[in-house]
Amino acid sequence: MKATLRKIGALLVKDAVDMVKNPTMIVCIVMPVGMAVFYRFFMGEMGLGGPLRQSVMTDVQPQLASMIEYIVLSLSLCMAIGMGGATSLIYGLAEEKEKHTLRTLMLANVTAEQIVLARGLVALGLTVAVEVLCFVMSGASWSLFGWYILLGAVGTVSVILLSLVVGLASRDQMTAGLYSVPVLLLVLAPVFGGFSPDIRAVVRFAPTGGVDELLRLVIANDLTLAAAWVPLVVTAAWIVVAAVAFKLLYRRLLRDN
Amino acid sequence: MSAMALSMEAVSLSFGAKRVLDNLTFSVPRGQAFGFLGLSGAGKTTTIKLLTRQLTCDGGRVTLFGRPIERATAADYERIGILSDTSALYDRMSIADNLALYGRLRGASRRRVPHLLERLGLAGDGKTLIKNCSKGMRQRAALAAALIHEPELLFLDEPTSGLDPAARAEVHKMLAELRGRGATVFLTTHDMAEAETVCERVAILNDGSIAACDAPDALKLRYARNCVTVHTRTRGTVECAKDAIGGARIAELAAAGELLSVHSDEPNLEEVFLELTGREF
Repeated sequence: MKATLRKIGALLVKDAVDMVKNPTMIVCIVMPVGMAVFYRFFMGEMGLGGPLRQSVMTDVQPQLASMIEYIVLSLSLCMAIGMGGATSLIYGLAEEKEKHTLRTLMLANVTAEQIVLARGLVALGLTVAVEVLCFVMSGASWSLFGWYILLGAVGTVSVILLSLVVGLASRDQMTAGLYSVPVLLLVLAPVFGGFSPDIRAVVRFAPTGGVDELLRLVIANDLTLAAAWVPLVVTAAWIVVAAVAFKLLYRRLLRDN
Repeated sequence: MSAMALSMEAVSLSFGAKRVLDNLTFSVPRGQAFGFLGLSGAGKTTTIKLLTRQLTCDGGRVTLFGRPIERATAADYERIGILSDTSALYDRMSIADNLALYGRLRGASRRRVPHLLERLGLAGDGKTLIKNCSKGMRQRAALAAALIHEPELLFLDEPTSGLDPAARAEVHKMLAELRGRGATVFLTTHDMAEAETVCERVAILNDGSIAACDAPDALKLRYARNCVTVHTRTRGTVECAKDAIGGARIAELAAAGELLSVHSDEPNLEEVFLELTGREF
């Protein structure tokens, strides 16, 4: 147990340091935060810092204010999960496979479980850190902060498990680029829910659809058990599906024959 | 405690229709340096992969420290160090940071990092990022990572490829020290001189099966010609059989004051290897 903790600790430090030095990971952090800043300051009246929000916040159109807040937070939440939880993990693992550092680690008596646990925890930490930055930059109400971080963390779990499988299935970073597209589309799907009710009806079943719907309910002050059970089941179902896929596939993906 | 560090018994492995290893049988006692020689594609790396549980064989029995490999424990693997053909360190980390990482993973003392850097001629390069290292520096750093926990059993797949003669000699010296402490070394190499220098016993692998397995000197004697070459003062070069008649002939030449030198003409390990693998210069 002591040896296991020592190894996981060493891997956590290595993954965290490597992530900070990796240009791809910097992009994963900058993009969602950049989007939050963009929406806040450069989208004119639609932004949370814009004059429209200032007016609607003065009891003229409180529902519109909620809607704007939801759009910005939903976008940044999905982006943070997609970039921090999915892209960073898929590319990071693919790079380890491409450069044979994963194999070298395993030959140093580090188990697959220890490697993926450290990677997953660092990805979760990165996602939460990006979510905090996004929230701060979005200028949203601080009363939503706890919910935003909690939902973001829960929504990241299934994405991390799926991304670990996709990352291990990628031979190199080029294939990771290809394989990460469907994962990213699934994760970002709730963002397109605002285009039409039909799209919303479908994307609520995406991996981040559940937490996105819960976020909408929290912002609209409509969070009740009756309204929340479907998104909760969707989120839990994705975690179970991703965990089963991970359990079934990860050992096979780490073997040579 | 088993006297054998590792063994293979009638091991076979196929990739699709291609038979890669066929009825492979050998064992390596503890504390021995064992060379595994073969042409590219002969199955050397595949054998290391089987011995390190990266692959599973189709048939036969593989043991590690006397235990069937399927039952080898994490503690068994803590006693092993591996430098494979694909061993790699982290590009964006320095040599010293990489070694510190592997030291932490292996539970080794921090003092091992400067010691190994010094021994492998990397003392001034500890802060160099791996991505800025030459091939030889990377190879030495990877070797240092494999040695960080002073393993009892060391698998080395072409450990000196890309190294200059001085670095190669230092690696050979380190391997001799490891053996002096009782470590077992399993070495694959194309370099027959290295095999002769480092290994007490070698196996020559040809098309997935072992063509010969013995001490290098024994192999050279086995494949030596059955005559000696005698250089004389006035009668040129004379060949004499390695028997009583040949002995008498040499004695006669010596008595006549003709004898300059006698050469047994044993082949070197490279010639034995080429003969056994059916290849020519």
